Amino acid sequence: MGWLTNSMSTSIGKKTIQAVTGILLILFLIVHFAGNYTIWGGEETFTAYVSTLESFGWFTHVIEILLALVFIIHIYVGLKLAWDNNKAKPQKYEVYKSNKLIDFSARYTWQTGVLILIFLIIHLLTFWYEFKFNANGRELYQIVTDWFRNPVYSLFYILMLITVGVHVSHGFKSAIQTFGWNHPKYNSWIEKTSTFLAWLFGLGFSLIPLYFYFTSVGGK
Amino acid sequence: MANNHLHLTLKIWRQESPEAKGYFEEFKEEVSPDASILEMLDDLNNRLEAEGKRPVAFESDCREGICGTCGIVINGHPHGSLPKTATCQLHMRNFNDGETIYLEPFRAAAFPIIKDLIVDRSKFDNIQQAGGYVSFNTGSAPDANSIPISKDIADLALDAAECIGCGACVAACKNSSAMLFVSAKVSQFAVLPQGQPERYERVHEMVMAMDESGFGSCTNTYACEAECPKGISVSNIARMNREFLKAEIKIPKLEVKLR
Ligand code: SF4
Ligand code: FES
Repeated sequence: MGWLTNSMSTSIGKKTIQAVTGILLILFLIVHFAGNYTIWGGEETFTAYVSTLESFGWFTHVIEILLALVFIIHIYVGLKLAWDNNKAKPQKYEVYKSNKLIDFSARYTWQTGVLILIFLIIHLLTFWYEFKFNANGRELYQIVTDWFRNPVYSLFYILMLITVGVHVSHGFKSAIQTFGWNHPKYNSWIEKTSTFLAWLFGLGFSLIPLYFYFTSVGGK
Repeated sequence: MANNHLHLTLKIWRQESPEAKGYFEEFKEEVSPDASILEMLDDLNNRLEAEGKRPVAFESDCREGICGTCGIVINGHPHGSLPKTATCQLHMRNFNDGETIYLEPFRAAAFPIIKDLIVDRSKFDNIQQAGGYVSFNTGSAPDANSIPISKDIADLALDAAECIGCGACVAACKNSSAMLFVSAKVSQFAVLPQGQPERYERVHEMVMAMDESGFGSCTNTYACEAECPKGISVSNIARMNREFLKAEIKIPKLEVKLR
């Protein structure tokens, strides 16, 4: 394994780790997204979905641990790269412009990443932890809809989901470039897929807090 | 006498030595629109010398945009904002009368400032020496065109070979990454039959040398491509990535080669 650790600790190696874990996280988000959308079927459908996941028992735990590992690697390598990159340009320019309108998502990848990390922690605490260890007989559906009744929480959620979209809009195509796939025939499709994923996550996930906030207003 | 000269305010980075603290010095300059930016600096230096002051140190050689020696960050753009133009080819007609122009050296940890606008780019030489060559037998020159190469491939190689090693990509990159330069040097050989014998060793060695030199890594903002005076494409970076990954998987006994 000596060679693999050596190869993966080079600059391109670290980028490859970022790309692979990033793609895995995107795949996870797609599954997460599909799961979330069972909420449109109402409380029963959603609860059925949650208990199906629960019924897998140890299998779910293995997946959870693997997922946590992927997250941790992605976060650690990302921060390490950001740190090293900052050290590579110790003195900044007085005037710094670019001919390319470098999009926000590309320029602030690690910053949006840190925001997402904060969001992840809050997300886990308010949903996952609440449900697993502090449910007091409540179903996940109840916990989720309770939280989204809170306008501050919902707004924070939506802003963070947009941040996820921004992060992914650069992340996906960047990962593809890191794998070495850059071809004039397919570049526009890679670009489009990136944008699609950004909207899917940014807007798609946001519809849930939006819906539950607005349906709760005046209701209760 | 009326003329069309421009009246400019120059803010130039002055730094006595690598260790000294740098600062911006302001100069008022009247210059013909037909002069290049280096000619303007020549003019300024003549005046400074006549006044017994220290001239502004900057580098140039060919002044034809082919050697890669010149390189100043002009108003925030390495080689100025004009696309695909080296500093020496940038003329004052691209500026407006009364404008303030900032002239700064390339900034990167791997490119320490030697004096004023001159930086030490010898790290590029190290990378080049690590693998940017092809081996062939000595003796008479090999026959031209003895190996058939398709036009597409020849174009790819020649486009990559346009890189003049100026370092503007490093200067433009927020991470001071040298990926555009190194990828151009890897690509120009990797796509050609003549480059095959050292193909995987080359990319491995050059990436190692790049990492050792203290350049950052690429985050795919593509600022480099936009500022490169030769328009080197970031598709070369993708090629280098895949060449490198293939090399790591393929080369036997890589540990031995690691420095
Ligand atoms: S890739 Fe472009 S900017 Fe970088 S060294 Fe080569 S010519 Fe200069
Ligand atoms: S002096 Fe040779 S490229 Fe500018």
